[in-house]
Amino acid sequence: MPQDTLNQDFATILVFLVFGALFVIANMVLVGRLIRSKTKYTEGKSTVYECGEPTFGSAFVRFDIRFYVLAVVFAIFDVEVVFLFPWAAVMKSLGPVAWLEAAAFVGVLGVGLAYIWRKGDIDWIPAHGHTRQAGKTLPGELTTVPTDGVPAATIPAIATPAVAEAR
Amino acid sequence: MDGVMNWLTQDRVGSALVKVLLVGNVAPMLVAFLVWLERRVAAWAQDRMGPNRVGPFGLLQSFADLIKFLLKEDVLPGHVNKAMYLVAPCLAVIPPLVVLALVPFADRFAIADVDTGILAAFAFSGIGVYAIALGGWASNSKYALIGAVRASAQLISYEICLGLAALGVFIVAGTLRLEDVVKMQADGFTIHGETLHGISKFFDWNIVKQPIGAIIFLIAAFAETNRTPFDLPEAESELAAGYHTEFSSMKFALFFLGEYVAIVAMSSLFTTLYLGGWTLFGVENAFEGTTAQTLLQILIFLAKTMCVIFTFIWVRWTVPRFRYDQLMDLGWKRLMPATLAWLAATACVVAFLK
Amino acid sequence: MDSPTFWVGGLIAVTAAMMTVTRRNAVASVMWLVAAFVGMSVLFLGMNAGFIAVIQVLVYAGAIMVLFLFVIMLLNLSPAGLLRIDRPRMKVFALAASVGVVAIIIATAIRSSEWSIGGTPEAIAKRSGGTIIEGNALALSDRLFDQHLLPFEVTSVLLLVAIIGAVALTKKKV
Repeated sequence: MPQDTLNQDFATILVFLVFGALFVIANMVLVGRLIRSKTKYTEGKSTVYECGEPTFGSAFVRFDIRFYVLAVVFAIFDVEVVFLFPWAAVMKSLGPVAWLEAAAFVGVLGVGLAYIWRKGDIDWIPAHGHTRQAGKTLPGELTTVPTDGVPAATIPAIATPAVAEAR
Repeated sequence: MDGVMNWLTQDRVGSALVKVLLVGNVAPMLVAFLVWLERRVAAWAQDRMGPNRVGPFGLLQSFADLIKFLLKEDVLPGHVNKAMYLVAPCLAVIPPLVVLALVPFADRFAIADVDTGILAAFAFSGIGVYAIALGGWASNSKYALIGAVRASAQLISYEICLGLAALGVFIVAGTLRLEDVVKMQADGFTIHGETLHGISKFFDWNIVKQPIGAIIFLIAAFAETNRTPFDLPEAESELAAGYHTEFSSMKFALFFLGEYVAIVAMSSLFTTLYLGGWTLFGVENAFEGTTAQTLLQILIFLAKTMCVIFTFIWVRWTVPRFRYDQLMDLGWKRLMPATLAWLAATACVVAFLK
Repeated sequence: MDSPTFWVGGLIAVTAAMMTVTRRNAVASVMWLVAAFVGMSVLFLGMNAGFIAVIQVLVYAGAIMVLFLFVIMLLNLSPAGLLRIDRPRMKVFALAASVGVVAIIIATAIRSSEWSIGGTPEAIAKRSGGTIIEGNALALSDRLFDQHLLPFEVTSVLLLVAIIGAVALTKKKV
């Protein structure tokens, strides 16, 4: 009964998951709480750690759109990999036909890779040595300056001059 | 007493329980040893002493660190998103731990021997992205968020290469079951109709048949575990500590643990896929049919895994960190086409020559 | 009905799905949706589809949801700054609509002769008049690369279109 044992094996994974969860919770919540000494809560402990600089604005800022493209492309290639795994398993028995089938499949997706390559969506701009193109920002760069209740004058310039001009 | 022993070794439920407890406890122990090893090797590479005070050769250093982590104040900052802030460290540890459940440590000694073992392993290691993304997002701190965004983009970029590189092994093996992949490497290959014997069984190992695949897999594994030269998520000179800047006490320790468990998991996957798993030129069958045989196989497996882990540490103290655009270029423009080409070549050889 | 995997998976999936739609924080919703997908993968296990179960976690929980998370982060949704819809009439309408949809689904299910909780391998085999289908990767790939080759190849075109679409969406001028 191969299927029966298969499900039992997956059930074992579930047991292991529960074990892992218990392990984590015990370590994170219980053990420390029992042996740790009481400490005073001070205002400073609840501030954001930014190396001593006073923090400004919220950290929930919008970031670069190219991460979205990257995530889409990742999801698509992940599907490709998933399709190729069962193919790899039967590759030997099916022979040259299977090779051609997969080549066609990967070839079409290869066109997709070439397309994003050509369009520059997997180009990350070097931090130095090249002039930065107008309107482009580095990944993770704060493209909108958070303004919730903070006077504009107190906000240091985050965007680089080139970017500011483009806007 | 005999009944209990029988239940623990023969019965499905009993033996599964034993394996779960064994692997679940050995893995954190291994991590403790690994942290010590990492610091000793680092010290050796930098010509200094390293931890040598707690216990013999400083071996108990990690346990001292653990006690320190436990005693530290557990700050729950006011600016965080509480639920996600608590979920993130859990997600950092559990998925890589579950990956270990799928690895065959010895003959018929995987916690879960499923026929799509490798895909399940990738599925669980893929869940690890959430720990980083959530950790950074929930912290409500700019360093953490930037670190998290960088890290998750890096992880998803290299996950594809990891999967594609591993594919080569399965084309050669013709199965998706990890245990069969190991067995293929022990007795699957013949030259002029003669099965290999003794030390020449080395040529059965996938690292010989799949050298490029193995290298790409290792590089992708470095990136997946955020190790130098791919440790941009926590580049301390730029981002404070990256996505776990705002975590303290055991929550930080769990992130730390998760990272090292992921290294152990990736190394054991590498051992399984490319280094012949628990086999060693026939030595592994020395005590046929006894518990000693299983123990010997586990030891062989651990020894090989330690070699891979040593490579992880060695590379960390040899290669400097990449710049972000170099990282992305390497992933998408170098490794990806290289992997596809290698895959096509492998499949071509298997399809047309066999 | 008596299959434990069905009850475990169903419970996880339904609970997580309920949490997904009731959370106000979008990131929390995403995480509950991940949990719902894990529950669904347990359901697939109960149906002998181990391969699909793994894929469910790998692709949906591991890739698609990461995409969702990225989009939510892109949208700049801080937990505090979420919209609250305070339109009582809207709420009544929404409630009525959802009750209606659930009622239709349940009614269809009960009327159907194929109403069987669990969809155990035996039940599926009985219904389709065949034998129990092996749900493993090898059986699947035998069919995929033989009988269903054309859909498989067309999928690649679909995926290509998705890539081009995503790129086009982010450009002002294509």
